[in-house]
Amino acid sequence: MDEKIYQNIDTPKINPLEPIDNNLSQLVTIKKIPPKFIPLIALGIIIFILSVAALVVTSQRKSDNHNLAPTPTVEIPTSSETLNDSLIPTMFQADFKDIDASLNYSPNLPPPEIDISVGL
Amino acid sequence: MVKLVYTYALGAYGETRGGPSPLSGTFLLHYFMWFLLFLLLPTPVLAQDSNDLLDQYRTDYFYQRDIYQQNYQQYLNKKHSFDQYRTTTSLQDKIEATKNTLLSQNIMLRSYMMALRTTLNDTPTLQDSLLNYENWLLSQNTTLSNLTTAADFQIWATDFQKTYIPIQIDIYKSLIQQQINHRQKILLKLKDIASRGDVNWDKNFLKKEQDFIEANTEALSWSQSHQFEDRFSPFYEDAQKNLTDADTALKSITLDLKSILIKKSGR
Repeated sequence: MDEKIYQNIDTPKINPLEPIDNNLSQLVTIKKIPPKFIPLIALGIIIFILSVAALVVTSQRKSDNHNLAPTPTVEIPTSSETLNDSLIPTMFQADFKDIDASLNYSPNLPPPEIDISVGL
Repeated sequence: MVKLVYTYALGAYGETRGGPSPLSGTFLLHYFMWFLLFLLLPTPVLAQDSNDLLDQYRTDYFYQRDIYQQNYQQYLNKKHSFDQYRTTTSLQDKIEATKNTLLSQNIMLRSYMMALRTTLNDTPTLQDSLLNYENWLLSQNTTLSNLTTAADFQIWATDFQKTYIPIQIDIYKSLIQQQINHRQKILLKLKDIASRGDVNWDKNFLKKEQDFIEANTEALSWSQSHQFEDRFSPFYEDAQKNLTDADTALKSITLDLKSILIKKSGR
């Protein structure tokens, strides 16, 4: 009587050529962060970035302060193209009015144009 | 004995004492009036500032320019007629028109230089030079009046072409110098204001003042540019660019001085 070969029922597929069905991922259970913590975490990240930025800016300012002169040397004029002349001290207003008029003055003497070939 | 006689007193006869007559009231008034007239007469002449003179000379120049243009137009017509017909009459007409045109041309140039001269009170060397050319033009009109033939006019016009080159150089040089003088006066006024307003000029405006001086010097240097013997090479437009730079520097100084004074006043 021939011996009947039985397959071990505990290992139904023992074919090394087939890929092993790895169900390990199923074993790892991912713990989801509760939704109520998400805003808190985001807030924490923002606070962290801001504090780092503040640290950088403060250190930058501290290093710049060493180069500043204690008092301004030159009176820096306003870089405006038009000034309200009524703000000029009264004692100089008439002088500046004359100067403004003089700056736009032209003698209006167009040079004569002649034909130098007349008579030739 | 005292004798009553008629003497002239204050325009009316009146009886006064006789004898050697003292200076009467009329006489005194008469002298006083002449004295007043003597004092007052030069006043209007002195009061005429250069702007009034410039206005007068400029008006005269524009008037002379109109006359020249009319004469020139007539000359062109007569020249055209002569080229077309070649008759003795048309030649005579052309000669007459040539003479009128050249005479009015010299008068116009002279009036222009007179006007230009009034703007150059700070540059007597250029004034003298212009005055010399004015006198030369005046003498040339005497010469022109005596010319009668086309050949005479041809010789005169050839000579004039050569002399007109230095005249043009001086005219354009004067125009540049006149603008520089005008701007320098403004700069002096600004310096005066800065001094009165207790503004440190050197600290605030030295760089801009240097730019201003440099631009003016460059503008004037164009008048020294090389000229050909037979024709004038213009330089005024190039100089104008430098004058515009000087103008910009001056306007910037004015604006800065205004703002500094405003700041100082704390408004």
